[in-house]
Amino acid sequence: MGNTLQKTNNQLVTAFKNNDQKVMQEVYQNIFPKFRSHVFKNNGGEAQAKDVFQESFIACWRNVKKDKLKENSNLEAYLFTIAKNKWTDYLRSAHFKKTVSDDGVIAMRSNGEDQWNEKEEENKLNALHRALKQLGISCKKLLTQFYFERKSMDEIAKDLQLGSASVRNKKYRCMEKLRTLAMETKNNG
Amino acid sequence: MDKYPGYITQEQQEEFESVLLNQMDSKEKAVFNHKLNSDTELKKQFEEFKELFLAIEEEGLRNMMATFHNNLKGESSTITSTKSKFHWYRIAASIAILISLGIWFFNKQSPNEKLFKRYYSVDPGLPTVMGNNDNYAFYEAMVDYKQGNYDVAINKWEKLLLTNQDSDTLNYFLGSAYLANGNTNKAIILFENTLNSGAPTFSKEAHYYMALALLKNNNIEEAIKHLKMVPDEKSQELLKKIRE
Repeated sequence: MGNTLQKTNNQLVTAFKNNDQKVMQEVYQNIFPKFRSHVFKNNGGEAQAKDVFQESFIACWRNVKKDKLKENSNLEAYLFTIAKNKWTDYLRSAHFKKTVSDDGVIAMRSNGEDQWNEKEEENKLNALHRALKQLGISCKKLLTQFYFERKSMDEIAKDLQLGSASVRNKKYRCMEKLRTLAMETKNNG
Repeated sequence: MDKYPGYITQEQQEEFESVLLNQMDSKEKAVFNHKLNSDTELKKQFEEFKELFLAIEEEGLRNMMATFHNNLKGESSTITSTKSKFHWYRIAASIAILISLGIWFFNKQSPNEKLFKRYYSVDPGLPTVMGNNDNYAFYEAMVDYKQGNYDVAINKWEKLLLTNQDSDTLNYFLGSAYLANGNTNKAIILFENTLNSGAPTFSKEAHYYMALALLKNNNIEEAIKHLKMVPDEKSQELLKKIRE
């Protein structure tokens, strides 16, 4: 696999854990073209390659966060494997099986509402993402800056033009609100 | 707010945060882990917090994906197996650039346009299986379509349409190709044909893409009508966004 700026695998893992955007961009750049070639050779097109790859990238990131990546296994190779597996799943999925019979009539075999059946864990996450969508934009921005972008509270306070005490309070209130929303979505199915 | 009581204190939240942001030294971490293992309630709270935390991170990453992908396009076109494919990619890419430049120059991005961009992705097309097939011409064009050579696909399908005006499949994919190519008005006519054919195969998709095309043309009222015909989550979400 490509060697991202000669970074060791441990550095890649740490970078993923810290959401280092520059490193993640490089990994994306290294692996996507390989995966795209794989998809082109296996009945797929550009748009599908992109969608499946991005889902795989997120799954890979998630697993790295949860320490599911075995020590000394190569992160980029791992990402490529996840993507290839997801592509195989995709080819088997209902979405792809809009079947074509000999007389050229196209029938769509629909299997549930969506293309693939995600695992239960992902369903749980989806509930959380639905909750996030309902969270106000300013809360979302603040929390994303702090948790994902890893900005300091001072930087965020400056950016939002708020005092540091009120940013601190706001962050607390936002998380409380998100939790409430998440519980509501869970209870309402 | 207090329908679900029992959220942790601010101090507790901040302790959790410093664990998850890796801001603790090893000694602090050891103390924290010890506390966690001897207090099941705390452990439960921590797990719950961690899930919320991860969801926010993941949302952030999801939003980064488009940036990652766009940065990629500038530098690598070193793909594809055959030369002719590569050639067509270059043409398609230049067309795409011209079109997007055109759009950029003549249209300041309206909110509708933004929504369109956010919710539009090209229909992935039908699998093209090699073998004996009566509809060879149709699938040949499908290959072009899937490779993003929308102009080529449009030319081939337009010829087929002359003799197959009632085919919902043909109308639908020709519409998809026009929409992908930025010809919204043509797309709308073809999606309309698809829906008028009465065949159910593509009606859900046709309503959805029709709504997007109308949205792009700022015809919100009609777009809403079409979205109402599709019960799935994505359409309902878009409907909500339009009404906001």
